[in-house]
Amino acid sequence: MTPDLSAARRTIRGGLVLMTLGLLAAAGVYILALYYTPMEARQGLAQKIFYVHAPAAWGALVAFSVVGLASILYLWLHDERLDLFAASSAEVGIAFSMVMLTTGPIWGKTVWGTWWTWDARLTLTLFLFFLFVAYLALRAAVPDRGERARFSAVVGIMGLVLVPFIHLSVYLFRTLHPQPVLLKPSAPSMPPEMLRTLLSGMGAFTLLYLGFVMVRYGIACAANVRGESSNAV
Amino acid sequence: MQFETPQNGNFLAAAYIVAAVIYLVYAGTLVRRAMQALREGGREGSGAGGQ
Repeated sequence: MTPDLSAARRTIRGGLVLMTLGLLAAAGVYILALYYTPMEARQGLAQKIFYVHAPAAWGALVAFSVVGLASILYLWLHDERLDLFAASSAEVGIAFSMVMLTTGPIWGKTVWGTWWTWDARLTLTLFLFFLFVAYLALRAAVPDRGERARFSAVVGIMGLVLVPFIHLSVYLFRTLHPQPVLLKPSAPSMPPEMLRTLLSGMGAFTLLYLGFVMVRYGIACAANVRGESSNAV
Repeated sequence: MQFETPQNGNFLAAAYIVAAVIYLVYAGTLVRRAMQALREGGREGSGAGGQ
């Protein structure tokens, strides 16, 4: 099936509403983190980078997982909308990754004393970022829609395979990166005020992801209907 | 054991500003492209006698 123009316009409008709500919620998380959440005594104010860094990582990994899942479904069902949705999610995932990969080193410099270290978690995350940059480059380079969708679906699935390794890398390898405080089998290991702010951040940035991806998907569908390739991702 | 809380608020400010800039710039590019898509879709819709 191919997308139609009126559905694309509805998706864009709905996405713009969600995106605005997501940005407002993200601003609320900034306020919560700065004024409500207590300062961690050993790390100082820099620990509050966590409330932007962890939700960005969450958004990126969700976005890249969605690319992989939509790619699997595309190869199975051959529905063009799944391909466009996967590509939209990849672009949004890159935006979240950029936040994760810039705020992480700023926090790392204060805690570890270095901006970057080539340990498993950081290296795999950087590799995932480059994989999806290559994913978008591949899409821009292949003019045929069918070929573009098939080739990029394979790359998207490779990215999905990498996601659990990134999550588990802190258990599998010796790494400077701390272990998860929330997504782990045991109870969250942080004070309730910090946990509330973190969960608010997760919620806000999930909303922002949904808004971004809906708008981008609507733009891709509209461009696809008009036969453009520049915005059809 | 005694320890001194580090004074590193400037790192917090840098990280929050960088994150906000990335999100806002990306949102801005999406809004620009969305408005363009809605305008062009509207023209095509009216030219074709509605959706």
